[in-house]
Amino acid sequence: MNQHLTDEQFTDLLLGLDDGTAATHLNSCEHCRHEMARVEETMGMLREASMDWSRQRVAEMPTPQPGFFERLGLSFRPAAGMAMAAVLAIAVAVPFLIRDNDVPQQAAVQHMSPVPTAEQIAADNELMSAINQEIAQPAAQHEAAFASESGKARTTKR
Amino acid sequence: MPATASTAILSFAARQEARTHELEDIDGLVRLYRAKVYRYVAYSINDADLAESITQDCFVKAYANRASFRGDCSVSTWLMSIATNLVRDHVRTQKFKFWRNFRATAADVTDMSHQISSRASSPESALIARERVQGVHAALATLSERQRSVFVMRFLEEMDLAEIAKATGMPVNTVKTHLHRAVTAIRAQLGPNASTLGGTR
Repeated sequence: MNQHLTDEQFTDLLLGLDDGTAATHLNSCEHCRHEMARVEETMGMLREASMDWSRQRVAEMPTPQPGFFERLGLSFRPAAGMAMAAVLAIAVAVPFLIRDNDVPQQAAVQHMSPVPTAEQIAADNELMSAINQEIAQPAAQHEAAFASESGKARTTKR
Repeated sequence: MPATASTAILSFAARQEARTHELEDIDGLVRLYRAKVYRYVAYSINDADLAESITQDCFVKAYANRASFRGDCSVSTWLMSIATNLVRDHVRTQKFKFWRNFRATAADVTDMSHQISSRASSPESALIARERVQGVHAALATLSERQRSVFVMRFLEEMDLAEIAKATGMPVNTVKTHLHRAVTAIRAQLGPNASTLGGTR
């Protein structure tokens, strides 16, 4: 008795999920082999036709130009402005961070002493004063630079 | 110490530059995957014109959510999952219009027939191929959107079951069940096993 592959066995074979049983049957059954060839051939035809068709359809569609996504309101411009501000902020803040990094080397020693000396207090006051001065000064420069950069960005966008 | 400041600024600038490259990449991504996504969407919703708009939405969504892509699957699978969600949204809201639209896409099948003619070695084989492809389209029309989507991913896009499961959010066994249903419907539509063009591809 020549029992052909069930639908499930056939699909498993087509999907590469067969445990070997269906493949063995295929070797000895002309009908099932023929059916497998027909279905694979049809899938191949469909694949080729659909690929050619979709490529042709897409080629006929308007191609999104560079910057297409920006025009949809997904622009990076605000992010770029914020980034510039952040860069400037880093540029302003880093020297203070560096100075802070320098200070702890002294401070580490100072903290060893339970009561700060007059000399340490004077050094701290001097440092705070320098920080205040530098914070006040670059803020104006920072704003001017940012305004100038934003102006440039708008011009570039146009 | 100024080197630390320079490093911080340069590192920040590098991140910004990487983002700029992402912006350029999305254009490349569209060029690379547009036909694939379009094909998948067109088959899934049976509406070639609407597929155009959904495909564009897919890339817009991908671009807007690019930060959420963690690289745990291929870009292609990621795009297919976005397209799948858009198709589902569409099917949910346009369920009735969807079936009406199917007839209108018959013109697309005719388009495809021209492609077959250009590849076929003889008018006779072109005719057989056209009939087969039209038969598959007719069978696909009887399937649910999910069955059709899974079928397209497997047999047109040649994705493996794990990739399909990832893109659709379905368990692998559900994917297999949909594929069984699709293959059975297509074989039934092709009719009795009487002829082939000869040999496997």
